[in-house]
Amino acid sequence: MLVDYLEYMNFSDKAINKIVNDKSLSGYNEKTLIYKIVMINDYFLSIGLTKSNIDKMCTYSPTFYCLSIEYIKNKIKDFMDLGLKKSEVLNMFIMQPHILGCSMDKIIEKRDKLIELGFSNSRVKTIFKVYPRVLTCDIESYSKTIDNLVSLGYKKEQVYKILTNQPILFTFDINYLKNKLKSMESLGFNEKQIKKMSLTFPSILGYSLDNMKNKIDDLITLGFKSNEVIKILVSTPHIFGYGSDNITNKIINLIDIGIEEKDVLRMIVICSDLLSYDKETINNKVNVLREYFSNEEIVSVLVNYPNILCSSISNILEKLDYYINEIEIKDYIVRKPRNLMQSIELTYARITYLNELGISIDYDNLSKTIFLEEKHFSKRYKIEKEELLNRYKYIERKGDNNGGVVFLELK
Amino acid sequence: MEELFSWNLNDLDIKEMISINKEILSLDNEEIRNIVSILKYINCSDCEIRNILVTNPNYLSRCYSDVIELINKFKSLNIDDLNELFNSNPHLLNKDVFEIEDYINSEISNGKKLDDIIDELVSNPFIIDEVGVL
Repeated sequence: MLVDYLEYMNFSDKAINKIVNDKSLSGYNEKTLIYKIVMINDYFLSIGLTKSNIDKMCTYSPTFYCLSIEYIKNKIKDFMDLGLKKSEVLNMFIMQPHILGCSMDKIIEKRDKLIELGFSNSRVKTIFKVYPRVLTCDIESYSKTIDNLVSLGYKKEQVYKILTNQPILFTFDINYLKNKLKSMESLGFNEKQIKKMSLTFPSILGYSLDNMKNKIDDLITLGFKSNEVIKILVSTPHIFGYGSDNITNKIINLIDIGIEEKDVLRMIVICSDLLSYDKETINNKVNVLREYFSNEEIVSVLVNYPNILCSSISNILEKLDYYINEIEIKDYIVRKPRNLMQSIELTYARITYLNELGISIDYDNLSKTIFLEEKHFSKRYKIEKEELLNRYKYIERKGDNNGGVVFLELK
Repeated sequence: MEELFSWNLNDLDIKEMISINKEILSLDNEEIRNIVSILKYINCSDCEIRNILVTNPNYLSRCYSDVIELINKFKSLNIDDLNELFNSNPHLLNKDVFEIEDYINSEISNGKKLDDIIDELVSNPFIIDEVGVL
């Protein structure tokens, strides 16, 4: 009767098997158990879980059917009192239904232990959310894991970061980690690079060596040289987590703008973060550039200054508005887009100062005047940057109302 | 995370930052204040701090002591305008000291003088990532 009913309720075979063979549920007669299952399922569905979520929970452990609805309600409230949102608590139950049966005193004890060990409250919440199984680990394993990672050469501050991002490491054996770090050297990384990557993107500690090797091979197939691949991955190890199609599509997107493939690859080596942005974000920024430049000019700007795509849209707009609309040096910016790196505040101060000195600024001497390297500028024009910025504040100019001062008279 | 709003970042900025660095969601205000305090320490203006955070959201996840080591390394090279350097290339803040040292050693082995290497780095804060590429 129980199995028929569970089948009728659309439980999977695996979940049915777990429910039927669960020792904690074996004490109930079938009628009572069915009643409890129906009541608890209805409650879970009423608070936002799906049938699939409940099935998943059962395949882990259906023991929660022993609990009363009142108990479950209180457990949700207790977790929310720890600062978690209801949706986060429910997600934790789906991932690790065992925690429904954990004593709240023990959970608070474990939270306090992690805080005592140096984790911030915010990090502890993330650890619980990402990997609630931590709550079922032996409390002594927390300090042991930290000690193990410190013994591998990480600073405590780094350990907190690694464990927040990859709390599954609380259950890893120290020898596994040691071997993993060592084995990554066979992929062409040195010890310092491996440590940096594991800190920036701790998930790699859970990746198989084959998986990582495949990613390196994928990048080489796309046209990057081996040493460039190492450079890209050390700078942006998150790429280990991207699918090959994802990377290829991002490259194609840049090629579609009109940039030659070899230049796209070069841009990525210089600025590997370009692969972190989704297609839409990149296209939105390119569309901003379209308001100021022709397509040919955009290609030139991007090839010579790919990092502009890592700036925020508001920052790009602010810079282009100033350099192109306000002081009107578009042609120069197209030729030397890297000058966009220079802050508007500094450029404004230099222009105003040079104007006061009566020094003429024109297209031919921009690199010797407003875009001159700081140490040469201060020597030639006898003013330190700090004094210049204090004397001519761009923000004050914004507030004036004199109907458009000409800051730069180009001949 | 609320601390980020005090840097004149709007919802769109923060959304984009989180899409690049999801760890931001697990940072508490004190951690953000601490890591941003380094930028104030090197005299970054509010405007520069905002630019650095938006351009390089991964900076927020850097370990405080690692960034301090990096700053001290640059200072030992007599680079004073660190705010300007990092504002020009906020991703430099993601470098570790060994990467700066590797770059300098590699350039020295190519016959360059330390002063020239530093000058190049100051005038082109992207040079470390460009070496061997251009």
